[in-house]
Amino acid sequence: MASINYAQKEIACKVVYYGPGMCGKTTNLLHLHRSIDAEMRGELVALATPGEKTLFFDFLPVSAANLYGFNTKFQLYTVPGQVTYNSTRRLVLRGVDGIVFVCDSQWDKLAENVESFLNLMENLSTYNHCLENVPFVIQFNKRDLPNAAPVDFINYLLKRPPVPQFEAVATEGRGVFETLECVCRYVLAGLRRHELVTATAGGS
Amino acid sequence: MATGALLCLQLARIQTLPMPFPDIVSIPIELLLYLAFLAAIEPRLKWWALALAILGLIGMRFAISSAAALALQIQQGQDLAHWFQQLESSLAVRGVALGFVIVSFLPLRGFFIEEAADLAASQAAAASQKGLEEAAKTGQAEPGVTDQPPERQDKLFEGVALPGTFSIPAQALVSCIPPEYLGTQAQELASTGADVELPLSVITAELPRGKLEFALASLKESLPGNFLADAPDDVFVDLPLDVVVSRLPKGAFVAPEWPAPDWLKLFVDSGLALFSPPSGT
Repeated sequence: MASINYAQKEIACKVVYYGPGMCGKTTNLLHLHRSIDAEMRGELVALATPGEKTLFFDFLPVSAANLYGFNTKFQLYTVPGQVTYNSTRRLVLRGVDGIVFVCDSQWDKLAENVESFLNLMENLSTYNHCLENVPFVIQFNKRDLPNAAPVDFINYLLKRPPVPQFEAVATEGRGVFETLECVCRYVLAGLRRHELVTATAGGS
Repeated sequence: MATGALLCLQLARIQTLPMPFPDIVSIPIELLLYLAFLAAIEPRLKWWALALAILGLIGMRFAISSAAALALQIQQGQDLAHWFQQLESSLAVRGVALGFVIVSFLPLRGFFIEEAADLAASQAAAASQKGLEEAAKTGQAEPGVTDQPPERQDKLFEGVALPGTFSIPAQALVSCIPPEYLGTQAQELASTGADVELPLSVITAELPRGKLEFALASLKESLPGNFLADAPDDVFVDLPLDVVVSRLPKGAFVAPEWPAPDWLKLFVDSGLALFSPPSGT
């Protein structure tokens, strides 16, 4: 759930890029950080976590929605994809508002995608969350590689979750912004619903 | 609780209010009002529970009025045969009235249920709003509550049993099995470019995991007689997933249904520009 900073009048929403090791999570974040106007975003921070680096930066959308009189800000995180760093992944998922599951499209990485997806569900369940109540989108990354599996088969492996999906080549920035924009919209829509309920309750 | 409240209301009405209409008119109206009231305040009541509540109310009302009439007859020293005639007449009237209620309730049932669903949804929204307010008060994030048991998530990844067979080029099999375990037929089939038929059930369990890893021993029964020279339990091979998948019938990719999550139904303002991506991306 979004965290609220009363001093700065900000609601911060946490979006986590999840997926197997070397699937392109960091590439996504680096591209976003490079591309977003420097005035609108914070510095890219490598958190001191074991294994693959956990990257983090936050940004204020151009049309930052004003909710409850607060500005909304997004905090983007990656997780270490390697199987051995599960405690770090679980920690990063704490208080998550939206998830981008990044799939590696290569045939020989499909099993890792499935394992990572199951791991995501398991780690969410430790916070009494599940993919039915946290907005998430799927990004099929590395679509430019010759050994990329068909999207339909990857979807089958993930049991065809009925959520927004994007094909991407993160190294070229293809599909990166579309993915982020979509997950952010759903996170904001969830916050707005709360605002509407508050307004209705306050008016009655 | 609602049934109890209605019972009190009914008892009070019988005791205090006059009956402006004959039973044949008043009972159906009254019962329809009960139904609406019950459906509104107890939205999760099943239709049979509503029916039971109604029958209970009718029975209670009938028993009270009959007892009152009997007491009056006895008190006035009148012949009880007259009372039994009234009782029969009253039973017939109530039977017809109940029929009216059932017939008229059927088309209205959807309305009641829809109203009840709306109420349940608003209650859920209020509950989640309460959570947000509490989080706002403490200034920190709190985990939400899920109604999704972990067991169902596991079931999503169970394999689906598939009948029939699929063919795979012998060459593809030969290339993934260590040469020392290959039999004479393997090389012959591979050199002629022939296919090998395998039952779909062989891959049923492994396919959903995105990897086709098998012990040679488990493959031996499915392969032609002399395809393998030896098939130990502790030697594993990875069948080429891309080749196998390209040979599978489309029906092999049927996945269990995953219900659409609630958040997907939220209104998303697609006209809102959240950020300005650089040109060319």
